[in-house]
Amino acid sequence: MLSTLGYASVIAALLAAAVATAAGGWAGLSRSGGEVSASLARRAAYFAFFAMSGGMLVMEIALLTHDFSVEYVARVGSRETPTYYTAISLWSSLEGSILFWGWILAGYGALFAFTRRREFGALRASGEPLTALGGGLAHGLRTTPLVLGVIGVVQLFFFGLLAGAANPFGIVDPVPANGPGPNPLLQNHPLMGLHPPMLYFGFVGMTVPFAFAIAALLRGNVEARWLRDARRWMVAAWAFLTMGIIGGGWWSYEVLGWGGAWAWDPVENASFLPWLTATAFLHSAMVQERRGMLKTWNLTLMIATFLLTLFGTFLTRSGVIDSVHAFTEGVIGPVFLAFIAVVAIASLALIGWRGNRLRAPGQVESPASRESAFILNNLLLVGFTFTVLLGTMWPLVVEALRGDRISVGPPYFDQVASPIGLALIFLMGVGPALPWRRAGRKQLERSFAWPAIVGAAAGLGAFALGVGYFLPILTIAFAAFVLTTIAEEFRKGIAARRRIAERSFLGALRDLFSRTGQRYGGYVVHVGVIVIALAISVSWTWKTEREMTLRPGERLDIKDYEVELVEVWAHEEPHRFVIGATFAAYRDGRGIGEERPRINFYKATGQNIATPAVKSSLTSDLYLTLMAVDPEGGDHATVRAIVNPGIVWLWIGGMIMGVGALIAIWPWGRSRLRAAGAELLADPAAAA
Amino acid sequence: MRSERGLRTFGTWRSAALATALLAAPAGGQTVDGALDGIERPAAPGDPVRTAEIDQRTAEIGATLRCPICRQQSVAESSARIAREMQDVIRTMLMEGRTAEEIEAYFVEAYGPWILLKPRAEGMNLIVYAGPGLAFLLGGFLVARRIRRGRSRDDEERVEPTAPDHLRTADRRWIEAAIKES
Repeated sequence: MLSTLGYASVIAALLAAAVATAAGGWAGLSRSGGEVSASLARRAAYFAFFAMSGGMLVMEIALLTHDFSVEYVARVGSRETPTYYTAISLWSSLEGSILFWGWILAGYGALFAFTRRREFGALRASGEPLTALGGGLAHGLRTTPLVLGVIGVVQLFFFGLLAGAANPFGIVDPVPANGPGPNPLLQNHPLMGLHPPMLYFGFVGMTVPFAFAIAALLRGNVEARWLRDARRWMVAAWAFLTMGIIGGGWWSYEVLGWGGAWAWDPVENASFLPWLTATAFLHSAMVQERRGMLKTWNLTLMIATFLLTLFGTFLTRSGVIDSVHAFTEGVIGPVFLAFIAVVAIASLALIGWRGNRLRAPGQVESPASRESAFILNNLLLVGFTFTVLLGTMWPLVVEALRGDRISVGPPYFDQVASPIGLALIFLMGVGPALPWRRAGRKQLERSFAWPAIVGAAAGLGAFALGVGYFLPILTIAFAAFVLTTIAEEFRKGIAARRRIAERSFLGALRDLFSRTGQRYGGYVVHVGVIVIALAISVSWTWKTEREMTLRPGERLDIKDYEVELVEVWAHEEPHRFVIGATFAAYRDGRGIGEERPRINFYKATGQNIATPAVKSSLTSDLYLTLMAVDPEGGDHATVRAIVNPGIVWLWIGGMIMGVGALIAIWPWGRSRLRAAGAELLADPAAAA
Repeated sequence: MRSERGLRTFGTWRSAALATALLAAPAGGQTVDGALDGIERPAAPGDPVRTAEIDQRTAEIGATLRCPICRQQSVAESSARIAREMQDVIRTMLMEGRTAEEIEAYFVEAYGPWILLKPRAEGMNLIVYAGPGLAFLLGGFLVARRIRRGRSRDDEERVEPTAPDHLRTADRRWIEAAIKES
C-alpha cells in the first residue's frame, strides 16, 4: 500500500519534470509566444516538489511505522533502533538518499520558480506578449523558464533513477518481521541528522547555478542581473556545502575515535572538490560584475562545480573507491557515469558553440589590481582542485594501467595542500586591499604598510614565544596580515558611512552589511577561514597522544591534564551492548568532571564502534578513546588520551563562515530593491 | 548502580559479543574492529620500556603506514587489532635500533607498496608529485600572459565598464509593474 503510494508520487514527479523540461525549453528558446509554457514550467516545478514531498512523507511513515514490506525499510529499518535514528535512516543507504536528493532538487526548482513569481506576475500585469518587451528584460523573462527547464532535465535523471535503478519503494514478500537497522556508524551520533542534509543541500544547490549557466549558453547572453542571481544561489549552496564539510569533520572527530577531523578520505575529497571550484566562482564572478571579464570562465566554473558534485556522488555510490562512505554502494555507478559524461560533453559543446558570443572586451591592466588578485586566487583554487583530484584518482589510475595497488593518503595531501593553502591565505590579505584596475605605488604603500608590519610582528612574536615550527609561524604571520587588512576595510567602510550618512557606529556597520553584503559578508567568511587555518595549524603541530592501561585509581598524565580510571562498566540497550569506562579528568590539578568513553557493540551487524569522550574547552580538548577492557575482573582498561589544542576553533571558524555567507545573501528588506528600482527609473546611467 | 548491574550481565553476553567481534573483524571500515581485543591480550600497565621518545617515533612512523583493514586510517590512528600489532612491531624494531627506512622497507616487503600512505616518488608515481607543480606552472603562464597582454594594449584602448543601454519604454513599464507588485 505505502509502496504503491510512494512509487506513484515518484512517477508523478517524473512527469512534472518532463513537463517542466519541455515547457521551460519552449518558453526559453522559441522566438515568439511562450507566455503559456512559461507559466506551465513554473507550475510543473511546484508540482514536482509537491509530488516528491509526498514520496518523502510516505517513506518517513514507512520507516517510522516499521513497514517492512517496503524494500528500503526492510534493509535499513529495525524495531530496536531509536526513533531519531529511524527517522534519519532515510539517508543511510542508497535509495533513500537518492529520494532525499530528489526531494531537495524538487525543492530548489520550486523555490527558484517562487523567487521569480513577480516576474510572471509583472508579465501578466503588463498585458503584453513576451515579444513586445525589448532589451535585457525580455531576455530575463525568457531566462527564468529556461533555467526551470534545465533543472527539469536534472530532475528527470534523478527521478528516473528513483523510478528505476534506485527504486526505494520496491515490495518485499514475504514481509520480514524485523530488519537489521542502519549502518552502526550512522546511528552512533546525533550529528548524523545534520551533516548529510547540509551536504545534500549544498551538493544539490549547485544545480541552480549550473542551470543558470546552461540557460545563458543556450541564449548566448549573460547579463548583469543574471550574474548577481546566479551568484546568490551559488553562495547559498556553497554555505550549505561548507557547513556540511565542517559538520562532517566534527562528526568524524566525535565518532571515529582517532582524534582528527579530516582524513583526505576519497569522499571527503569529493565534497571538497566542488567546494573549491564554487569558491573560485564566487571570487571570479566579482571580476565579471565589475569589469565584464571572465564570462566564459565563470560559466565553466559553474558547470565544473555541478559536474564535481555528480562525480562525488558517483564516488560515494558506486563503490569504485574504498571509503568510509561506501556504505551506500549500489548498481547505479554506470548510470551515473553516463549522465556525467553526457552533461560534460553537452556543456563543452555549448561552451565551444556559444563561448565566442560571450567574449568580453575587458582587460587586466596591471598585476597590482584586484582583478589580478582574483585571477591568481582562481589559479590557486583550480590548481588545488586538480591536485586533490589527481591524488584521489591516482590509485585507480595505477591499478587500471599496471594492476598495482598503491595508496595516496593523508601524508601526501598534507604535504601538497599546505603550500597552496598558505598561498591562498596570503592572497586573502592582498586582494581586498588592492583597488580595481591598477594600484599606484603610493597606494600600495598606504594599503600594505600596516598589515605587513602587524603580520611580521605576529610571526616574530610567535617565534619569540617559543613557537619552533615553520608552518605555524607562517600561518600566524599571514593570519595577522589578513585580519589587519580586513579590519582596515571595515574601519574605512564604517568611517565613510558615518561621514556620508551620519550613522552611528552600529548603524554604519549594518549599512555595510545591508548595502554591500556581498563584500563585507565575504570578509566575515574570510575571518572564519583564518580562524580555521589557525586551528588546523595549532592542533596539528601540538597534538599530544598517550596510551596506557590503567587500573581503578591509577592515573595517566598528559600535558596539563590527568585522567584517573574510576571504573569499567557495561550495560545493554535494545539495539546494542555498551562497554564503557568512567574516568575522572583533572586539568592543572582541578577536577573537570567525568568522562565516559565507550565501545558500542551493535547486535544486528556485529560491529563494534568506539565512541570517544571529548572534553572541549576554548584552549584545548581532552579526547579519550577506550581501546580495550580487561576480560577477567573487568577492572582495568586501556585508554588512548589525546590533547588537541585549539580544535574547537575549527567549528567556531565554520560557524563564522556560515554567518558571513548569511550576511551576503540575506534579503536586507525590499526597501532596498524598491530604492534600486526607483533609482534605475530616475537615472539609467546611475545603474552603472 | 547501572554499572554494577552492567557488570553482572557482562559475563553472560561477553563471550557472544567477542565471538561475533572476531568473525566481523575483516569487515573493516572505520569501525574499531578488535576493540575488544584487550580482552585476550593481557596488557602490561605502565610498561617501563615504553619511553616517550620511542612512543613518539612509533606514532610518526605509524602515521605513514596504512592500517590494512581500515579505510584511509593510518596504523597510528587505528585501534584495529592488526594496526596495534603493527605498532608493536614498529616499537620493537625501533628499540632494536632500526631506522625508519628499514622499518618502512620491512612493511613494503610484507604488504607491497600499497601499505605506504604516501607513495614513493619513483616511476609512474612521479606524476602524482610533479603533476600539481606542472599544472600550476602552466596555469601561471596562461594567467601571466593574459595579464601582460592586457597591459600592452592598455594604451591603445581603454575599455570602460559597459553601462546598460538606456531603458526602453516597455522595460520601464515592467519595472514599474514589478515595484507596484512588491
